Amino acid sequence: MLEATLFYLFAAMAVVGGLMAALLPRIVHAVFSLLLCFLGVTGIYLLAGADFLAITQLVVYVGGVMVLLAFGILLTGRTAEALGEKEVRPRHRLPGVVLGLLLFAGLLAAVMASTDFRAGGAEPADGTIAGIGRLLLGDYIILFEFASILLLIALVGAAYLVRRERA
Amino acid sequence: MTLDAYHYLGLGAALFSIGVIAVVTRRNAIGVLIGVELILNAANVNLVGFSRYAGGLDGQVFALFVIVLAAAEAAVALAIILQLFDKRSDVDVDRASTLRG
Repeated sequence: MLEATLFYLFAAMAVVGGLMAALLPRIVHAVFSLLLCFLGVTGIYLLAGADFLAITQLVVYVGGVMVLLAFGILLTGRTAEALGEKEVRPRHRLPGVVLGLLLFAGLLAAVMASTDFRAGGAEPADGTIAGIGRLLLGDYIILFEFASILLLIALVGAAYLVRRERA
Repeated sequence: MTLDAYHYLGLGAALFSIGVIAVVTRRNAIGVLIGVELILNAANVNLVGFSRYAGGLDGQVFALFVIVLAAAEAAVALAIILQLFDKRSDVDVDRASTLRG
């Protein structure tokens, strides 16, 4: 079935990209494999019929957060190489991965054992932009306004934090 | 083989666990930020999965708010990382231990 095949393809993209982002020794490689992960998640959104969310994911993550991370690496570069040390300490990696696997197993067990989501199964909505617009400016108008204020505060706060103090 | 909400929840659990691995093993503060972004994406995958199989668009609206939060958080976190780099000329979270009791 096409939908399932596509789902597994995009899920594999997201998981492989995420694993590379978590485990690759060089931070630049990690950031660019994060791109693969974000594209996989975008595909999942499209498959679920969340077209507006997929567009937003592309614009905000691929266009915004990725560029921000790349700039961060540019501005703080040469530290790992200068220190002559590994980005991930080998003695930290194994406990970290074991913790992640345990967490994954625990989450899956909890989800499978204690929930019953098989019931239901609505058809994916055909075009979500109008509906999301109505919800955002209707039921969720307060949250929407708070999000705008939050973005303003984050903008001012980030600009304030990065300024250099004049001696 | 048909898909159901469990597929989305499983993918969300996988991305969340990978994000936690990145947060606890990375030494570079930007690597930790990558882990946090993965965790927020995992939450979004869950919300979209619920929205898809429960019907209604509320889950997608919440996912939008999570994306807004993630973008604001990334900007502020990078500002802090740059300030850390300015003060200590490295971004190693293992070494930023001034507050350790």
